[in-house]
Amino acid sequence: MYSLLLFLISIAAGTLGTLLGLGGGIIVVPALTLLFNVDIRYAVAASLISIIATSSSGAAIFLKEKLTNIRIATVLELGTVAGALTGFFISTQLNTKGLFLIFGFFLLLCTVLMFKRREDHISNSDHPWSKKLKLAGSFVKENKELSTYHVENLPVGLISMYFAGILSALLGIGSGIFKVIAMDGAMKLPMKVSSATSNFMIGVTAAASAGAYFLRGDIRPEIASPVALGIIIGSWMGSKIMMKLPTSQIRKIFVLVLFIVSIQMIMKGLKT
Amino acid sequence: MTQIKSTELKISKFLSYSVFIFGALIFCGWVFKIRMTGNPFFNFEIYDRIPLKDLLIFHFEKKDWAQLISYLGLFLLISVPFIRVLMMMFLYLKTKEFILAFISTSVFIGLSLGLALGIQL
Repeated sequence: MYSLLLFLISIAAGTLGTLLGLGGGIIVVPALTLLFNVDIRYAVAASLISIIATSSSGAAIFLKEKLTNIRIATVLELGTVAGALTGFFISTQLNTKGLFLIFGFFLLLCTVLMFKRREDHISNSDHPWSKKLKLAGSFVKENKELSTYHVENLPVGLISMYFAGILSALLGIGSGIFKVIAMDGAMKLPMKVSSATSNFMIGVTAAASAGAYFLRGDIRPEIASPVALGIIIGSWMGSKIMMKLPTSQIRKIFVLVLFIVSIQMIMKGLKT
Repeated sequence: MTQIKSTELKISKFLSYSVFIFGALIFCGWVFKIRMTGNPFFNFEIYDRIPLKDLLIFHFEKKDWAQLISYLGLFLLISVPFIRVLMMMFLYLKTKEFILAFISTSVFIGLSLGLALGIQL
């Protein structure tokens, strides 16, 4: 019964995560720890599996639509993988209390970031590294117009990806929210390209630490299987209903839920 | 450029099929093990580090095939990004873009290093 309940919660997490562009890990880890009392280390490890699954299935769609810039992803993965390895190392040194507190404060930060209005920043110039590696690209807009874009501040992007990688391995999240902010804000990529490229990268970021957690024996099928399956189904459902639902309303409710959960995570961390 | 586009399509197909197939494996293992009574998460309330090797030996001796199938599905799912990075590496080598090929190789080494960390730490 508990497994089925976790499976259903994961479906809801996958659906909501896709609708709000946050990913399922941000919902699944608090659900596992607060509702099912699972140790946060097992929860983080299980969540990473679901990130690989959703990134792979989502990336396939974005690649077909030609929104993903795989050259940029290749370069930035260098930063995220290095960060994920660092994050895994830090996680072995931290206790449960530390992980709860970091997760709680991270959720608080997410609630603030969700209020921030995002706008497209288009750049007309390329960073020298971007020129050398031919990272600039183009995509077809909704009005069928071809839009070209350039890549600025590549080193800033790489450093940001390193920190996003640390958070991913430490908290079992895709940290797509930070990747998109770095690509859109610092590197001046169009929002759609940032989101698609971030989705393409989060699987590799998660795999860097998931492999380590797996061999360490922290990924247990009893938890990881219903979570991964639920999130795969949920993210598929989310992508189907995305067009039909007013996401701004859901976003407002979710921000409130996220705020309450973050406080609960911090409280649990303080009590541990 | 055409070669890149056709490889993008291949990668896209590989990602879709692999998630479906490995997801099905995980599903089979999970369905055979699902328990309707009791709390299956009770054992996970306190963290107990048992290396994967020991877990696999334990389940093998118990002839717990469902659990072993789940582990296989999870392992294959984790390997998807590894294979994707390798595909990118070969693509860049084919198109003679050696800097990007070198970066992909470094990413692959980083991923492999993650596995080594899992055994060591």
